[in-house]
Amino acid sequence: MRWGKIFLIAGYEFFQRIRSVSFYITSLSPFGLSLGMGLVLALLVLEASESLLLPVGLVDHSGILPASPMDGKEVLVYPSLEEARAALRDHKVQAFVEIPPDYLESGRVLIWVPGTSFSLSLIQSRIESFLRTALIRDRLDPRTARRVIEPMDQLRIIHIDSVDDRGTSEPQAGVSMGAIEQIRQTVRFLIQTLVKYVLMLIFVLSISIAPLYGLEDISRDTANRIGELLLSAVTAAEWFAGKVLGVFMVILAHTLIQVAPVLGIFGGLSWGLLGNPMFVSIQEVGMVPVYYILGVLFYVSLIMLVVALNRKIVTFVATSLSFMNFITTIVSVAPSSRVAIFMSFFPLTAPGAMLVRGMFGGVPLRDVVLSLMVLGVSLAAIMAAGPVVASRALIPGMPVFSIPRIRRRR
Amino acid sequence: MRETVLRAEGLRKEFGRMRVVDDLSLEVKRGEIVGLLGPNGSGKTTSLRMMLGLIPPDSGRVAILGCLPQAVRNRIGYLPEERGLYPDEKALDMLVYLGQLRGMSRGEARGRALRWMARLGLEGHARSKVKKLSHGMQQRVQFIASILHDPELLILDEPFQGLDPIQTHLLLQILAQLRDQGMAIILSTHQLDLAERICDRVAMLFRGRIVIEGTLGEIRRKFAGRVVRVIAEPLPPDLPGVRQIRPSERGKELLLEEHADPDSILRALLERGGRIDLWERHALSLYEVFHLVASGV
Repeated sequence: MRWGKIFLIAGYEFFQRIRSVSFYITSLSPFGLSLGMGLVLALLVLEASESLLLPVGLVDHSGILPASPMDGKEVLVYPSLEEARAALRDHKVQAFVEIPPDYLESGRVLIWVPGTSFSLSLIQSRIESFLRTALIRDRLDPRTARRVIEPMDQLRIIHIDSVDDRGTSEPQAGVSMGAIEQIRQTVRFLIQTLVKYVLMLIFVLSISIAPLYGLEDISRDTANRIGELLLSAVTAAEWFAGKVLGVFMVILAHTLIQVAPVLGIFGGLSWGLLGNPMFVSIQEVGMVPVYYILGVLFYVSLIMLVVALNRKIVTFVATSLSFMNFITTIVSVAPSSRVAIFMSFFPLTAPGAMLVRGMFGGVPLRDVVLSLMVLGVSLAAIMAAGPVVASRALIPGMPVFSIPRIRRRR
Repeated sequence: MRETVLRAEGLRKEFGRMRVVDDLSLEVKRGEIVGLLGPNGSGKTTSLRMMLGLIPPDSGRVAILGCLPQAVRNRIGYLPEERGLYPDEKALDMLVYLGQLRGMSRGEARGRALRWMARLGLEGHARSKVKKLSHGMQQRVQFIASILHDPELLILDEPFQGLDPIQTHLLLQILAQLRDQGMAIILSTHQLDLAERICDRVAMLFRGRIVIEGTLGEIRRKFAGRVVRVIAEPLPPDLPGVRQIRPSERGKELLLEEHADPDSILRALLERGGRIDLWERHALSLYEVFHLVASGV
């Protein structure tokens, strides 16, 4: 194989594609979509937050509240239902809670809200805290009372895979630190989690669009009947490798266009809030590029092979492959589950599954080796068969497989 | 003695149960135009593809400049029958890319492409997208792509398809010039009048086999006297040495057996009595030879 010709074909494919407006629309559309959704969400939150600043009303028919009213900034106690309703209508409270006479026996509580409320869980949390405080007031010692009201001040989460041989682990969040450090840890945790999800979506989506790009690319050569002309100048293997490499470069550019702003935004956030732009360690995501590259190459070459074998089913296959790869994002829910491990060793899901597992949990070396073997062998088989079959697909009127006539011996 | 550029020996190809090419042997020398003629489905395109190394023969071998075709790709020019270019690409960029694939540098390909475009009346269309060009213009761009790298062997599959008479004449002129410069050219066509005008030798394919091969003079000599035009009354249907009698523009045409003597047949006709107004040996055109062969005579 002459690498010069392979790079020439790949470069031509790449530049031809990135010169088109559709490439940039495809690359930037997720941002436009996210921006639009973010804007709508921000408006909703803004609207909700205005009402969140209002206190919650309370009407007690049970008599469990102490004689001295406990109302304050967060909760306003009203003597009657009518007054509470009037306050709700006048937007003096965001909601009010009615405690019926049989509350102690039934535990039943009514919450009155205006129309649709986005803050029910917050109201519920406030009322629960208020009721606990009211129920235990002057009945428990202050330390126990505090734990009843707030059972946990700090929470530390340890991933079993991140524990080293000595049983020690890096704190993930909520270790015993000062308040500022706690906030910093929480912010770091949030940024890390969010950025991992965003990057996971970008990488998996990029792999998912690989078969569609590959299909479009090979279809361009077959539909325009230029394949025969190209194959008279280069070998089928050079053509195939050049095409796969070209599509890979296009998808890589597509991914970089999406990843760069994400890294910039989150890096800036991390630097501004935490003083360190490195929000994710290289060790944590080291395997991601490997599976990304293998995934894109695998899917592009596979679809080109399918095009060559059967053009009628290729659109269905390309869509199925995209979907199959995209469902690997569910692995993020349980990266060490049996399903995740199975998906890691099945060629069609291995790139996505291992990419997600690499981002969301430690992956045992055995799994890495096995999945790389599976992908390597599959890719090698396609790259070996691809040129032979694809070259026939490019020559009009040629059957993909010609079976020589078996002659009977006379 | 001129160097043999292409030598194909005993090529055979089957697709499934159908034998498309059967024992085809052909030589093309430097400075020679060889026409591969035949009706649709006679195996011309498959033969050319095997000669180019695009598809492997089931048996037989091909040598171009003494090497396998795959080893000398950059020394071969090819104009496929199924023509196509990227429609959204500019004509010049398309040619430069195809030239680079043939081993030319970008600058060299660009310079030659511009010169050829000017010669073929495409100046001013270098920056036009292929899809904006007319069918004839696209054909010319394709032809330039096949000769841009100055190949030693040029293989053209139906090169005159879709060209108007002026463009056809221009193409014939260019082909003759390229031949005179030493290029070996093999062209497949079913436009026999054009083949007659340009080819030094022809090979006629029928059902995958070469049934006639030689210079135009040799072929004409071979078929001279095989057809006689006659106006006679009566014209007996059982004349010895006559294979077929068919109507013609003037009277009837007698198609003779391969080694039949027209004079003997005339004598036999005279002996049977009657009136003979016309007895004329007909010089067959290539089309008529082709027609004879295709009808299995």
